[in-house]
Amino acid sequence: MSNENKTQEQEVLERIDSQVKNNPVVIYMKGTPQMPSCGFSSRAAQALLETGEKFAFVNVLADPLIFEYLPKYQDWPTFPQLYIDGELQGGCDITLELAESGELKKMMSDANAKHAEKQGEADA
Amino acid sequence: MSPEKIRELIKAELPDAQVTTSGEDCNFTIEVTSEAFIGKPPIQCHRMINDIFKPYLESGELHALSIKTKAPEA
Repeated sequence: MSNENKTQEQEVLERIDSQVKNNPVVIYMKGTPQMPSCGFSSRAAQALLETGEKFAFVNVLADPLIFEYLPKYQDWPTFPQLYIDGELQGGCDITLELAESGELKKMMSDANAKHAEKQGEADA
Repeated sequence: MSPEKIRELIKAELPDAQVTTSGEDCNFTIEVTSEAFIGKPPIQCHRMINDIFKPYLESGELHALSIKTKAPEA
């Protein structure tokens, strides 16, 4: 039993890891930015939308395995979780703090620019 | 959990902390100011507070915790 579980856990953690590394900005949330299913996810997604910067999202309610294993990925117990340039920034509170100070937009735009550059190199 | 208990738990880890709480029963907002946060990214500060309450969140004694961390103004 433990063996099988471990394989599944590893498979899911690897999937999360590649989402986090392949998207300059990604938020794991309950619902979608247009139809959030939780107040915390809603406020965090709204802050991201307000920056006008591009971001990806994963609806954890639509993927029970990600819902189950994401808290283990960076040992962060709650949703939403915001990753910028591969690094966990935090949940709703931190996202709003960063938005308030203006840092959020800059971090997102830097990460998007860095990623676009990498893509360009890969295409060349 | 009472606001007094919350303050007590935080002070045990961060003796210099200024703590204000709002909210009720099992769903609290806490604002913590401590020198321990100086120069640390927000996620690290939040982890320090989260870690204190982890057992209580897991046991269900606390349901949700909204955290704000600040370093004292110089």
